Amino acid sequence: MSSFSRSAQQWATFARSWFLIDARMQPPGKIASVCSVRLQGKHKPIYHALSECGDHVVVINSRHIAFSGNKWEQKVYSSHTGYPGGFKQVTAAQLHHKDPKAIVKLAVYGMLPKNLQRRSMMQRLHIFPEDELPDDIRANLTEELPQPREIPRKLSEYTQEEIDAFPRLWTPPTDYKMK
Amino acid sequence: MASGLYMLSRGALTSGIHCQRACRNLLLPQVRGKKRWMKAYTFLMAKKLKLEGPPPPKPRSQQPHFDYHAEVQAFSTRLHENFSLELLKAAFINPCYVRVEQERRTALGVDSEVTALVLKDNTELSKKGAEFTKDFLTDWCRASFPSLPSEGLASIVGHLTGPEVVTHVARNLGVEDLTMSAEFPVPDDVLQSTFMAVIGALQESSGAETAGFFLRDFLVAQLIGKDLFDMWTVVNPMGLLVEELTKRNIALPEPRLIRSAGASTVLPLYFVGLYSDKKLLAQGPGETIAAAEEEAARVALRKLFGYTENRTPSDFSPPQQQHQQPRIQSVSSN
Amino acid sequence: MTSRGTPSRFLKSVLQNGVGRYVCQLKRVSIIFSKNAQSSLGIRDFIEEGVVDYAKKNPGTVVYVSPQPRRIPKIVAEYLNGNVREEIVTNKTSAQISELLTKLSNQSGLDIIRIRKPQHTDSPSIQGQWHPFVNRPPSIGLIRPLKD
Repeated sequence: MSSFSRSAQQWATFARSWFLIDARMQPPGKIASVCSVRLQGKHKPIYHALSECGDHVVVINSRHIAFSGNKWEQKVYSSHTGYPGGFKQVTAAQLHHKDPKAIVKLAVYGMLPKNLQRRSMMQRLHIFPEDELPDDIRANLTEELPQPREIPRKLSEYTQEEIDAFPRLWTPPTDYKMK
Repeated sequence: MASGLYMLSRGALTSGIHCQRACRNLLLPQVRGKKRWMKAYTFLMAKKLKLEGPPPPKPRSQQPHFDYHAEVQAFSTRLHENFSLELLKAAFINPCYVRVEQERRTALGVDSEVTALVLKDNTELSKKGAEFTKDFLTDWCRASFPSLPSEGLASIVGHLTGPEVVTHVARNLGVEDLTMSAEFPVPDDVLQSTFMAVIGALQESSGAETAGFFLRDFLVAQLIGKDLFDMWTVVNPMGLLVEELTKRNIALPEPRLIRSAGASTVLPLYFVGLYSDKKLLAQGPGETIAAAEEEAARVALRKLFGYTENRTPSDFSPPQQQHQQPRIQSVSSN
Repeated sequence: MTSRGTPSRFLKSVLQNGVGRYVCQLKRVSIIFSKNAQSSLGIRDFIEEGVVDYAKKNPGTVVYVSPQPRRIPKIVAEYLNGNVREEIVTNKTSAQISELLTKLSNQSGLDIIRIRKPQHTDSPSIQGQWHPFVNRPPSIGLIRPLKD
């Protein structure tokens, strides 16, 4: 039970939180769905469509996102400059090479509601390609969100004992030739 | 021939009359029900209103349909009270009214010895009512908030008996219509003393207990939804908290920043927790760390004094039910 | 269509009426009618039949009956908070007028306009109002340097 004064209670209830999410080895769509809920404020019990109660989200490591399948080569981002023959199409890999923030940004932008608040909600999204944050943003943070997908460990990250202790279905004969 | 002449002359006569009528109609085309003077009159009245402003308010007692005796009787029964009507009527007569009435009579040349103005004003009743109100409210507050210090009690009582609350209650109980005052609209202090006199009259006619229930139902009910520090201005809550804690032999509070959001923006939020002996006393939000600390001290004080938002509501049940139950409440409050 | 431009208020009662005791908010009723106009027929019937019963049933309300040479009979209701309502009762029957008077004496006298919310409370929350740090264990704490 709080028993705050009215002005203090109001200030606390409508304050904006700052969330941090690490995008390393995460699918951009999952990151974007987590972000868009927070940016709209839909995780709050006081949510109302007419009150702008969205929070800030800081995404780090956007350079290290992971697409599944062959999306890096086959997913196409299209745009049109407005001039004749101005239809541009780039693959995800090309776009990511050009701007490491763009894929996450476009994914979040597409998931936000298509209304007048969309641009101001996007202003509350802060994307950083690496895990270095400026001090003023670091001072604001309140909570780190859990990553939506568990990162699988690479073979190089396993120690030799763990590899040896790993259960094997079939022991290759000594004269077996690996292809 | 004679008849022909007659006919002719008659025709000429009648045609002349027709002609006359037609002429009059042209000059004054009277249409029944069309009041052509109305427009000019309305304009004139509107202009007058604009120049002179609206007329001064008239007391209800000088407007039609007002029977003073019936009104006073209805006032008594409406509040479900058993006033003695003489006392109640005396309670509505203010000294300023008596003075003005006396002056008016002398100005009219009425001999004061022949028709003496026998009116008892409400000074005594008002004094008695004010005293009773103060005593009752102090007792009630002490019973309801036992851990509140005397300054807090005094400020709550002062808020309830202050002109703002009392005149608001009096205006919404129809006391203003019945008040005999020199001026109209009735000034706040006159209305306040009249209301106190009504309480005094109730106490004399029905006893202290009934008057206590009256006060509880109409004055104490104004406490609902009020915060403690709306009524009690505490400039330095931290100092008061330290004082209270030393009185109760609890370790002194230690403020700690426990949460923050958006610290480098223009809309920062800080939560400061007050720890006493490694236990969280209270926490409070604020725009700056100092404001949050002050708020936390206020929250801690509210908790200490038992004036939190989720306290048990005060007992406003009607007196009959309390008679059946063991009368702890009324004994403790009286 | 929309009611946004209309005057509105929040739900409330006069002086927390009903918390301690219920006070009938109608303090004065003036019944103004004509002795011989046809439109006052119903109200004349009501004055013959029901007005005494009404006054006896509501001792807290002062009832004034005044015949005036006018075509439009009306009921003027004055409330404790100072509001005055005039109801025209032209060509109404005695039963309708009785119903109208009951309605007037049950009302609080506050303006009859759009009420913004159908509920009101003076103690908004027992468990405390929500804020972003509600139900968050203190162990999460502030986020300071990540990996430096």
